[in-house]
Amino acid sequence: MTGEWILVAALGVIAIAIRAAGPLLLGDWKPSHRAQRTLRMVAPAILTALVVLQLFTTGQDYRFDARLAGLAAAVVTLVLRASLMVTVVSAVLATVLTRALLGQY
Amino acid sequence: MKDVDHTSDPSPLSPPASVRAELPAIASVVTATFLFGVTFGAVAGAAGISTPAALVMSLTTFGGAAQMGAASVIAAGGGVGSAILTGSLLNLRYLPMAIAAMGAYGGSRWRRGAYAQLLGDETWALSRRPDGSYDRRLLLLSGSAAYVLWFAGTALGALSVGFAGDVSRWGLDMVSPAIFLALLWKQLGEPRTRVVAAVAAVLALALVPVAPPGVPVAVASCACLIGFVK
Repeated sequence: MTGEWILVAALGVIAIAIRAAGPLLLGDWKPSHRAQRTLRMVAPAILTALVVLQLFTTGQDYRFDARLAGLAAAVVTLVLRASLMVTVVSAVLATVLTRALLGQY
Repeated sequence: MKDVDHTSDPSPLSPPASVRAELPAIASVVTATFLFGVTFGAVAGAAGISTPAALVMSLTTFGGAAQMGAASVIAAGGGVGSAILTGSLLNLRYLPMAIAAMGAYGGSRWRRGAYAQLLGDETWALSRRPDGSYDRRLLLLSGSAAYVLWFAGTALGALSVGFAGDVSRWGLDMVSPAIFLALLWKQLGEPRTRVVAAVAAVLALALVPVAPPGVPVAVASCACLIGFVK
């Protein structure tokens, strides 16, 4: 592929800069109580966004498909307090089985 | 198994114990990272990205969503410029994530910037303590393990192009959301966190049809500002 090394170099340099920016620029900044609470909310916000996009969209379209079965299976295991691996395997199996039942293979 | 309450236990837990307790979770996360790496390697190969380029990308960018996003743009016939933009937007979330975690690293700002290179979604979420601070050992240990297995997975995937086929065929597209959901689940106890999650979900879904890939997640991360409201 032409230009692949430009892609690799640019993506890599920008990725390193993004991860380093906070620690390098903010240095010894001590967050206030409210700032700490804000930072604590970063994880749930990003994780929720990633989950809903990965489950309900394909590209730039909304798509509700066999992934819903995987979501349901994952939620059941979480309610039952299963381990992370059980949750992942259940979600994958439920999705694969549903796709097979829907004749998507 | 019965839950044991350790909160009143006065004996100081040594840091390695906290890591040992999380070993099963680390194993799950790095296994998933490996499978995701295989998927990326296969997708990149199918998109016409050479194996050396895919491997160097995994070593330098070290971001599953970003690399997959960039490879998808190339696979769909997009240009290098839009692949760089897509991948970098998908990496933007590491900016607030690194700021949230940097207090745990210790050392000079250069050292902290270097440690932050090991940040990944799953390992970062795994290393978060219930009080919102981050476990340094977990960040570095699970981050390093994920780094090595992400590279190994990429290599296997790139070399097996043609065998793997479509990601969704094996249900591998469910690995990542299942892990994220499990990590998120533990954080939803606080009412304010549930509001943040709901706002983030609405923002992300509302922007999907109109914004380029990566932007919905970056904008949704602003839902954390609800934490700043009194």
